[in-house]
Amino acid sequence: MHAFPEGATQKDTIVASVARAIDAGLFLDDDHTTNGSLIKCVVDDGDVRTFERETGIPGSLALLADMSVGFRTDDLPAARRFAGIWIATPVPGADLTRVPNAMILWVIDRAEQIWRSAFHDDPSEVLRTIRELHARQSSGQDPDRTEWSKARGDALARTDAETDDRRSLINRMAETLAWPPLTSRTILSEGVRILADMAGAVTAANAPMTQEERAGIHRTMEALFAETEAERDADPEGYFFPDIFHARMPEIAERFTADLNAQNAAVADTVVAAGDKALELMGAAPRA
Amino acid sequence: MNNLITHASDATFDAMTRTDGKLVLVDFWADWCGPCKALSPVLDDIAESFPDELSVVKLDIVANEATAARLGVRGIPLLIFYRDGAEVERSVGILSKTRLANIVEKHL
Repeated sequence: MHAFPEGATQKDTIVASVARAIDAGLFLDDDHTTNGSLIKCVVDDGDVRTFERETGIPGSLALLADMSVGFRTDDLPAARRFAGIWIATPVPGADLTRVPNAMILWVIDRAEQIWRSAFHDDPSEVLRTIRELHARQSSGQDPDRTEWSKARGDALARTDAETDDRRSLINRMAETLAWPPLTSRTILSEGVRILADMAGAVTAANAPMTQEERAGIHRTMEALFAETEAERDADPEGYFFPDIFHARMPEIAERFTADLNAQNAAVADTVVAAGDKALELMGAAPRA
Repeated sequence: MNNLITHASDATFDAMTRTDGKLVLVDFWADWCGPCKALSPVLDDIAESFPDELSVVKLDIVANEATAARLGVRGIPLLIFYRDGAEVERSVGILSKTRLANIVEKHL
């Protein structure tokens, strides 16, 4: 799969259409009323397959870019710049066929690294098998359909048999990544989503707040929600639970918010890093 | 619009799920449903992975209330699998492509 196969003029036209959409406020406007879909900047109805045909960029990378933009909206100008740079990065004729495989290897390696550093044991064996399949495909030796199917079956069986929530995350990653990436546009965004969940789970595990404390705070919040039913019924429009929680239990609410923000930041950092890595790999892709 | 997926209505639903031999997957969705939007690219992927064995059909439950009520649709996204017009499996909520493929392969 080659980026902008018709050459520099085709690329200029598409890059200009994205720039126009950004300037017109069709991509992340200041009021947050438009979303940040690069795909929709190029293809009106947002169909990823049409985007792929028109740009020569694998759809899995485009869906990951849209996901990554969604986690950059705290800084709208930077998010818009990312979109402009993203579409302008592949050189015309760059061979992007193996970029999704390389991205998956990055996701798996990062997952293993996070897992080992946090939980000090070996991640799933089946994830390693799936890494091998992608590594082979990345080097031009395509595994056949039955190999992918068997790996998927093994991963599903492992997930279903797993009782530990954390380990089940790594098995879910294995089952999600067990496809040849050019036949699965959702593979990267789903894989990165699980990687981000893993980063959030590790942040929670390393936080000063324990799982038992979190569960206790959740029970307290449920009780407060039940206690304030009359206020909610009296003024449904004006009732805003977070404000009530902070006003009546400031210390607990403060700690709970800080804990949640740390997990959310870990999730966002992971998705942003994945978007940056994909950009780097597209930029380094060889010309055909 | 993706041409691997077709749209049904109250008027066409029964005919579209009564295909000879081919497995049919119906996605019951609504415009206001965020999880339905998240599931949409997964359905595109599944339709492309099983082009000869599976038809993927979408039904907007707001525009087609009669069918949704008749089938007892309460939570969406709801996926119902049909073979020769008969329901063979249903699942509520988001599924990964692998989970969905596993259900498809079970009924092929």
